[in-house]
Amino acid sequence: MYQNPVIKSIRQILFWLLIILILIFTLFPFYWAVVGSFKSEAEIKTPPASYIPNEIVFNNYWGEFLDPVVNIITERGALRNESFLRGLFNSAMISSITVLISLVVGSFAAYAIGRLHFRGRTIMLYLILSMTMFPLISILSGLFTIMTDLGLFGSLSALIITYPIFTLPFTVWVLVSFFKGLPGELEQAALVDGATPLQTFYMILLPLTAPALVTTGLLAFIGAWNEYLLAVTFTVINSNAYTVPVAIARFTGSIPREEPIAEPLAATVIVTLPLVLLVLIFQRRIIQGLTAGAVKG
Amino acid sequence: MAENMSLHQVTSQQKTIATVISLLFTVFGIGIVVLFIWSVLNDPDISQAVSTNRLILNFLDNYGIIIPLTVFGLGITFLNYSRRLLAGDFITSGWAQSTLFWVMVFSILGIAVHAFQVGTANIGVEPQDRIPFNTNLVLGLALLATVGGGVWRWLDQNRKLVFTVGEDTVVTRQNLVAWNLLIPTVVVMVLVAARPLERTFVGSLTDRTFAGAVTKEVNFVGLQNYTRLLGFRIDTIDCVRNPDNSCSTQIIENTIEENSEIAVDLNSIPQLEPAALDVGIDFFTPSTLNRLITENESFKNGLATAVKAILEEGGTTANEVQVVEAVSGNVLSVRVDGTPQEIAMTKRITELEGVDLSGVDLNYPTDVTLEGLNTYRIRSRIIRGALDTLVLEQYNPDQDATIDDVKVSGFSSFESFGITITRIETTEEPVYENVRDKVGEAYRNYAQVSTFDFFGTRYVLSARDAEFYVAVGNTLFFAVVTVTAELILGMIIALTVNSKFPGRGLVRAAMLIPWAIPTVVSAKLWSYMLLDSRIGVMNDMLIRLGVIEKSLSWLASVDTRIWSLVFVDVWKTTPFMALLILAGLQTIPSDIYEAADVDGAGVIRQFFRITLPLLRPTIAVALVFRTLDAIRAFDVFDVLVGKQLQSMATYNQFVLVETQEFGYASAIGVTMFLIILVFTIIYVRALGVDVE
Repeated sequence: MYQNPVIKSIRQILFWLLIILILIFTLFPFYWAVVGSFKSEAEIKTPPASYIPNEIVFNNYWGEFLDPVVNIITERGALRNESFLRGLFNSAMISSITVLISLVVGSFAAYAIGRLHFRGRTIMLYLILSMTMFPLISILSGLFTIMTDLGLFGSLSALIITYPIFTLPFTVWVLVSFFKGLPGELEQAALVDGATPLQTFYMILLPLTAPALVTTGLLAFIGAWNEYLLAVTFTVINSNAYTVPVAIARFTGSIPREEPIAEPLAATVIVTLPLVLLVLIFQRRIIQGLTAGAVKG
Repeated sequence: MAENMSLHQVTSQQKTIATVISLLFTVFGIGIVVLFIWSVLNDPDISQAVSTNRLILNFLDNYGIIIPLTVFGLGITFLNYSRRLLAGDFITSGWAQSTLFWVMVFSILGIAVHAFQVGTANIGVEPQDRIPFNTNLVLGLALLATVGGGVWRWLDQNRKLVFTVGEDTVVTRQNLVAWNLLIPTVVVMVLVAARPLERTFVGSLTDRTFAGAVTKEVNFVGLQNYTRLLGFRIDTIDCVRNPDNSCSTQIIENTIEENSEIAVDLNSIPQLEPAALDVGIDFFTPSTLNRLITENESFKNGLATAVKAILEEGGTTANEVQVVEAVSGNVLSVRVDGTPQEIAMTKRITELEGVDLSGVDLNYPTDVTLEGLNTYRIRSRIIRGALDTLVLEQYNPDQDATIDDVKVSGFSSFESFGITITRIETTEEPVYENVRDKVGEAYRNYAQVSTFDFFGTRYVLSARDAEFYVAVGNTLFFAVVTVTAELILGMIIALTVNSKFPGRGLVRAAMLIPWAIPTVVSAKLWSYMLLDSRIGVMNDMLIRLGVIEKSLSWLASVDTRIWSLVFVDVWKTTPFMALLILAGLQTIPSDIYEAADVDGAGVIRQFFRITLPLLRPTIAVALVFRTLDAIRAFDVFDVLVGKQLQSMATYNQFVLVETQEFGYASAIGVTMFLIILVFTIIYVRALGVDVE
């Protein structure tokens, strides 16, 4: 089709403008966090906001400030801040255990639903789907009493027990779609060779779904790493059990009556950077995993 | 079939063991039910219950319905197994074998959990206070594990020989394998989702609280929590009538506060004395003065002349004055004929004769901090008053009568300061009756939520729990606005990124970043970006772009608060929405568009006739997930606005954790559950979401 070259180039310019706008919209806050984390607290609190730091400082990450009057260290950078580091450790541990449980338990269930024919399959499928939409908040008080009864309130175990509520149904749901996508000849061949369904599962299908397991595990990890409602409810009485989101939400500085900005920004960057890297590396897989349940391809 | 295949003769010993296994299941079946009943009867909550009402409540609270149902179901199933095993049924032997396997697994898990519980409870506890292991429990579980494991092994080897009735098909085998694989998931789901949900339901019918050290007696209160939560009434109120039956009116003064910024020339304020300011002469800090003294010889000499003049005024004659350094902004350390001395300046440097100011930037050197400037403003009442007068004059030269007051909120730069204008606007409004007075006693527990006029009548919506109604309103508004905005923006982004261009993968990766950042972290980050003054990058950018004239307090002001939340949520989830739609777009075959091109259909027509209908399933799924997410939104509300503006979820969590009213919090939870259920059903029906 003939197109006027002027209109075409205008369209091109508009298109790239739109792309740039999209990039600014999605990336600017992250850019601002990174830049802010290298500014001094004084600079960050002086209007107008500066878009490039006047002077790059690393204090927010690794600083240590000695109060000359009382002669004790009053402020530390995020990487030396004990409560933040503990939060990082707690989050890493809880998320890893949650991922492990979800993948082991979830891959069994996904194989059963995706590959095997059995009575009650549709009901299970619907149950799992309804679980993915389950409002966590409405069972919060039930969980609260159970945790109090078990004496787990305020402990990390409470989180490890409860996190599969949201990771497991999701894992099963995504893995089912992967299992369904595998060719059926594989199992028939295995069946002819005399393999049991269980053997077919762990000797043939599981290795094939390894990439899917990585993706799902990653998504479950991000989900557990980002979870806030359960964490803030169950660890409210024990700051040693804070996860990263709770630690960041409750970040308080050592200067009384003044809320710090630069140091929490450094903490934000530390928490986000691994996720951003993971997202960049596994971009294609994550999108595949996220859209697996929603789009039929 | 199996009979012919078995070449080996079944020994009598094997037959005996098979019978014992069959009977073992009878023992299991009866045992599990008896054990359950025994433990219920021994439960002090049950055995010491004072009334039937209380008995039922305690039973439901401690055991629920799922546990008894499971126990009795298992009991009957085991008895059934026993019967069929005695008849030599092969398929049942498979189920029996799996059952024993799980008995073993869960017994071992039980021991591990008990050990963990006791272990963690005893950390850092004195030896005499430590909780001992429950030996009976551990031994019982160990016995169960051994029996289960042993019989499981035996069945694994001998099952085909001993149980020969019935046909083993692919279907029955798959059935067995599938359920075995599903058992862990089912157990996890029952323990962490079904049981808590059940407890929430039961709890919502009680007045249980956690508050206080003493455990309060729990009472069954029926639907009382729900009536308190949902109770609302709509009353009409009439205006107060004049004698001639017309509505009486009154003048209402509405105070409106606006933030603004005005330009000011600091030099034009005579009261801004260096001494009072303590900043220094003409806002020169000591460091600036010292820089000028060392760098600029004529400046230094000028200062020396000025000092000489000051000394002469004081009656001292000096031959040689040498300026050493500036001690403070207006005190110089000098040597008068070789003697060190400190001299306070009496005039502004700009007013001194003989001081060479060429090459000196008089526009307030940057090393005077704004913070410092504001500190001095606060310190000196004279300056404050002077500024206020100046501002009033400058801002309101026309003597606008509606302006009531103007307050200086502080210097926002060296050339301007922020002001708050209080404007009083009067409106004439009809006077209405007071609802409380009109309704009387029946209104006792109610509080007004909002009023609305409809066909000339004023209605008042009141609720028992006004806070909850406000939270519901906030949440629904938030959900509708965010989801709509996300859908439209997501569609635009998806359509843009869908065309092929270099760097497309990079753009897609960039779009994932907001999704990957934890909601709490992004909310915190945005709370800094949305700060009140021009420290907040949002204000600064919008002012630079000329969108707004003065800084807005995004999160503190009632008008902008909810929009800030909407914006943060849209930022976080639009890219995700776009990715979903993008994935849907890529499933549309391109030849449809080619055909449409040939037929001469325009781009817009193609979008509405092809793209949108084919995207419908994707959009439907995305909408369902996003709407449900928005209705249960917690993180954004909690981090950004806390208790100032609550969503249903933050209100629920607040009632549970802060006031510890478990029964009432449960009622909110159940209500939210039902609201979300209704939304899901409506969506699935209306949009025709296909699960398979």
